[in-house]
Amino acid sequence: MATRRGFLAGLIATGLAPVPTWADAGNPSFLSAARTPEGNFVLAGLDESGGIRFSIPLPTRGHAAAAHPHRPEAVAFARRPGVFALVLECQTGDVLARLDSPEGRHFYGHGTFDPSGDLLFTTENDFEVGEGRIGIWDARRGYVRIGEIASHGVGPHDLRLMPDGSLVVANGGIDTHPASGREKLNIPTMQPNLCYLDMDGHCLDQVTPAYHQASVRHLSIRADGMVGIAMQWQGEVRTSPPLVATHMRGEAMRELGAGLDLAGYVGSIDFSGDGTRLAVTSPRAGVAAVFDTTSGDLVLALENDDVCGIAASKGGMMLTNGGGRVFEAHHDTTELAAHDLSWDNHLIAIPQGLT
Amino acid sequence: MKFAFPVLLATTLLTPFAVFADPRVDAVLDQHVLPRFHALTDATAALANAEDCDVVAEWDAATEAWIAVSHLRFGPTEVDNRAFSLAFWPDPRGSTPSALTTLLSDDAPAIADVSIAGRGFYALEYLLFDDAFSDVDGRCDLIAGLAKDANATAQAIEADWIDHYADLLRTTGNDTYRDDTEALQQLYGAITGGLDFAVTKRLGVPMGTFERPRPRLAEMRRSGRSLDNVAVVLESLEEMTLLLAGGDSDGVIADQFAAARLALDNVGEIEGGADFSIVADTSGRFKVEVLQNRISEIRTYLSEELGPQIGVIEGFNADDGD
Repeated sequence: MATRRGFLAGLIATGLAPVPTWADAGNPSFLSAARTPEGNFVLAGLDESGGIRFSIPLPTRGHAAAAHPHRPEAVAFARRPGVFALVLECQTGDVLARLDSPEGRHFYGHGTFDPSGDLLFTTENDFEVGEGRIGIWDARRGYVRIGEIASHGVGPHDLRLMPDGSLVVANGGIDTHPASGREKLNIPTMQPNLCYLDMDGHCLDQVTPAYHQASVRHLSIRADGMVGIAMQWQGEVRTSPPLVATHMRGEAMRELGAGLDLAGYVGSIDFSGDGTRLAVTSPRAGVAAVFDTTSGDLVLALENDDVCGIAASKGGMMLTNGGGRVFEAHHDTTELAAHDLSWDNHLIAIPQGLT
Repeated sequence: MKFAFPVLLATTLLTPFAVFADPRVDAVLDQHVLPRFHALTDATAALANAEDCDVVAEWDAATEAWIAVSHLRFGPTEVDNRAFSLAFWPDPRGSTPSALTTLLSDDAPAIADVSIAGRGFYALEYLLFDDAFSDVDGRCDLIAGLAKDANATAQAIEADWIDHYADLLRTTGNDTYRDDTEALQQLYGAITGGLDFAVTKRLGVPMGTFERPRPRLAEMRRSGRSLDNVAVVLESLEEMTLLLAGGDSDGVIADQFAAARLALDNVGEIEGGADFSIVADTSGRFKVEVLQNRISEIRTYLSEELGPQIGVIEGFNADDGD
């Protein structure tokens, strides 16, 4: 992998790169899906100042996106229960490929590349049996599907690559079926988990939250392998347990904060650039909360209506909300930009380094 | 937009300040929520106290009482999966008949211990109307058991509303509702949620796609209540909307619901309208689609007019649920 990276970096340095890079797409730092005032949907590239570097139409509402580590390619996932994802050339807006979920499957709206950018992993529902799958797609060959593995749970939502090359997946535990749309079918019996997987689909390690109705949804990974976990409470709001947690393999899940302060619902999560902070958003509470990863204490709570997108930035944390605003948060929030858009759930950082 | 709070979100954000209840909240509670949950308790008691298992009329009345509160899915209904145990639908994998088979087996577990798919009004509908269950052993006892179970659940929901939950909405500044706007938002969300459920599930599920309509997935088609349920929903949601709006001086809300009612009557006039089997043919399908559109128009009107009027802003992300 290091060899390949070095090779590509060398090519780019000589100016002889045969393929475009993120610089050719205006060097955006983040991706986010959004809704326009006319009710159309786009995938946008944002810079560190909150400016829009590109905006590409999507046929339906997006959810999260995955950024290719080298090439200016973004995979925009349709919102659950979407059956397609588009691979977009962010320089030109061209659709390079379209991923269609196989018969009997739909996507959950998240996916991730391996560090080389050769493979893309997607979370999927095998909905006739109600079991989670992870689809594997070959980005070297036009994103052809090359296989799938079990997610070892129901309703896999977010998934990430661990520093050691394994995968970690948030099995939300909620069973749905396209015939009943987004209706939750098993709230009384749901069993969410966090599962670490090798590429052959073996579950290396699995942890479950203390309360079975705390749906494990979104993840962030620190360089040392600490996993930040964001959950959504499926019971009555006032009985919500803590919904933010960290986990290191082989240890117990460590809960942070109070679920009620987050209105029982965490939308997005990301570690700060230096890994000392874990930040989450709750659009229902209208709050972004920042925890110290060492002490576990809540160190900052920022009120912000319909805030959801969050990602580490050079200056702290970048936030987006449904009102089209982009903020940077340190000790308080500074509005960087306001766009005539509704930013959707997730702000995805584009891997920096080779671009 | 600069708010910085030091540590301890709970104490800074949840500042309690006692206020008098918003009159619209009082009106919704006293003239809609509490009487309708009381009606559910009464109707399920009549079902549970029936002398024999010929309880179609009692089931019909109790089901109607449930449908009329089925949009009030917060607080007491969400404790211990009460709402799910009264009403498990949609059921895309057909879990209800298999749960009933378990309950009818020789070593059947207690009702409260089986899958919620085997409990409540939808499970009772199978026992009362589906040929597969018309003369199975233990049918009568199970009907009686499920009726008592539903009545116990309805009583528990009503008791919670009376004991404490109504007060949380009346006297905000508590852990659940920080201010009146949050209480109004909860009630407003119940209306829009009820309309959305009617459009996407009660009507949307049997509609399926043009190429593949799914009439056999229609809600309560066995008893022929499919269209009636939508009528009950509209009647109950209109009542709640008028109370939450604090009136309807220009009659716009009443007009919107009347238009939906007219579309509903047009479906009901056709044979096969009551159980939505008409979605399988083009002209019938079109009439159901018109009904769907009229309800969507109410929904749009509410988010453009009533929501802003009562200070409720619908959050793009807050409402997403992903």
